Amino acid sequence: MKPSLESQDSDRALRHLCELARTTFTDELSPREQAGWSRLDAKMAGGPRPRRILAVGFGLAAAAAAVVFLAYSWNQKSPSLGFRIVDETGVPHAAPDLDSAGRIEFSDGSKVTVAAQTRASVTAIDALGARIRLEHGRLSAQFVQLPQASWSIAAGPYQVLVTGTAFDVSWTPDTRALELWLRHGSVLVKGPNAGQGLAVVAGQHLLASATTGQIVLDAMAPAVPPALPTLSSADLAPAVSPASERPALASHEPSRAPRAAPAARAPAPEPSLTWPQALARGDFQRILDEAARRGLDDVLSGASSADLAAFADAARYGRKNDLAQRALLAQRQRFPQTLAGRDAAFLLGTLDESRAGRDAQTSALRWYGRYLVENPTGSYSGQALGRRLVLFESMHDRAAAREAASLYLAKFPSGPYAAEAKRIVETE
Amino acid sequence: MRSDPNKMNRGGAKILVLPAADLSATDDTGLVSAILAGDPRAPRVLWDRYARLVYRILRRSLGQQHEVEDLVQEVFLHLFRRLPTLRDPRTLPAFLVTMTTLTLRHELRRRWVRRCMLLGAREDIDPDLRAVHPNPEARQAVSRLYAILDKIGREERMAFVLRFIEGMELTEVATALGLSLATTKRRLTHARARVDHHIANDPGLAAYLSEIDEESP
Repeated sequence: MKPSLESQDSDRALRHLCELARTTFTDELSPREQAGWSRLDAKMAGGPRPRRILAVGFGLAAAAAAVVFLAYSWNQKSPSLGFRIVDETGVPHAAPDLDSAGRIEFSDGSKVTVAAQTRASVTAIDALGARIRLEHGRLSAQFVQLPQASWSIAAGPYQVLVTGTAFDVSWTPDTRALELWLRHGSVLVKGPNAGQGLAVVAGQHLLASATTGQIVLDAMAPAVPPALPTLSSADLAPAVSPASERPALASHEPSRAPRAAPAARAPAPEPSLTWPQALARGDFQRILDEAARRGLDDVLSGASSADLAAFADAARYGRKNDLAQRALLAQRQRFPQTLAGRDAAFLLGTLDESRAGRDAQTSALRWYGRYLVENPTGSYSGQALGRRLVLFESMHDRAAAREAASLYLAKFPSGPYAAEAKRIVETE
Repeated sequence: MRSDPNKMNRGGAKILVLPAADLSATDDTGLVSAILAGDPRAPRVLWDRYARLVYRILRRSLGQQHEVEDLVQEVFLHLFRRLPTLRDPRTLPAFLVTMTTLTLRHELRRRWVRRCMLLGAREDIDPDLRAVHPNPEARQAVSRLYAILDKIGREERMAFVLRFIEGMELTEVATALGLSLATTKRRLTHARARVDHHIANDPGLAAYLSEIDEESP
């Protein structure tokens, strides 16, 4: 006869089974589980993941350096800043695997030089700036001072909030130590024991330990050894920090790059400054004034490719989009085979996108398409493809949006626009 | 004049020094305050204090001894993010259990979807049960109990586990699940009735329980 519980005390049966479950599933932890804190700590140091953001990897430096750039929310009105990654010789790479230092160049003129043996990532970017995570190693940053600019660098539990300034920052995960040397401007450092944020101004040096909780803020040493290699003549102003506090640099660093400089740079303009140098310092008005003195037509017809690019950037940052457009068109006309000439197509697209109206959107699409034809693997190709699918979507051209989304996913399956592309493809 | 111990001038440098306190000896109120103040040592102390509790609840809820580590981490990540919303630090354990049930609810939903997609196939009980229960019948009984829990609703399952396996008070279960006491009672009554029904109709369990009954004095 099949046994049944009908005649049995169900309470007793349940108690027995629950007791079995209790003795089976205990709170004993395996060695791996006991070590779970380390994993959790690492996750917390990584910060919360922004929603609707995807990552693309990038390698830098001998051991491992990577830049991951993530996307931004789709409802922003202004187009996002663009950026590209160049190696130490200034050559752009869509997916570089470099053996030494490199640089991230943003379309607003801001630059972040990444030292060898450094790992960093751009975790989000929008029209006002980018969020950068320093996982280990050292960065030298120069952010252009634009109205409402918003840049930040996260390192471990610390955040360095920036509006427009130049500084060096390092993060050592082993000791959980943040170190910051402010060369220009000011930043706000947030993190353990920093309360609502600790202001650090030009000429100051900060050392914070997340292990002990100590924060030391003092004056930068008067000695001014060179900062990171600047990699190109148009690059950053040199940093100032104590040599003993800097990680050893690779012996094959370009000797042309490092230059000593005073801790407090004289604000007066230097007559010998080239336009790219002025741009790197955020002195847009100087470029525009000099262009006006020379005469716009002379500039457009006679300036070098580098000067035209600097002039176009200065005009864009100065919200003089008509001037920027003329400079970029001249760049394309006079230097069509150069990188700057090809990149101008993408930048012309972003200028069109900043204007309202369907005609502007159509023109932007055309420029992005042209850029992709000329630079199918260019440093802006992912963004050009992504902007196209967004534009098609906003123009309610579903078929074109789906086609653009499919193309984007085929080339950048985990790129910053992948989530939107998947949504478009799946919706259809 | 007494200087602020947190701000000392030493050779022209402004030095902020963390107060030296033994956080492991402090109570939950002090621990929460330390975390909210940004003390970098405090989260580790909280982990050491409560990780076992979270592991245990997740294991008993899901019916597996291992492979819950990711969920435990998720619980603590939620906890640290939402800690500023904790009004009374003395209720930290209850707050943590609530974070655990939130994570658990999501995980049970995920597993339910997975089971649906696998056309009802149930993930096998953790093979490491063997080490805990050398008795194959007991091991099988636990496996059948969790097969029954898979058949009842997620909310009922969580209430059942917290009350009957974890041994929580009714009010604690209600708080953990964010329910009123009355709703919690109704849910437990329903869950209990369904579990009893399934046990009564499970021939294997009935046989096992009959043997246990005969062996007991």
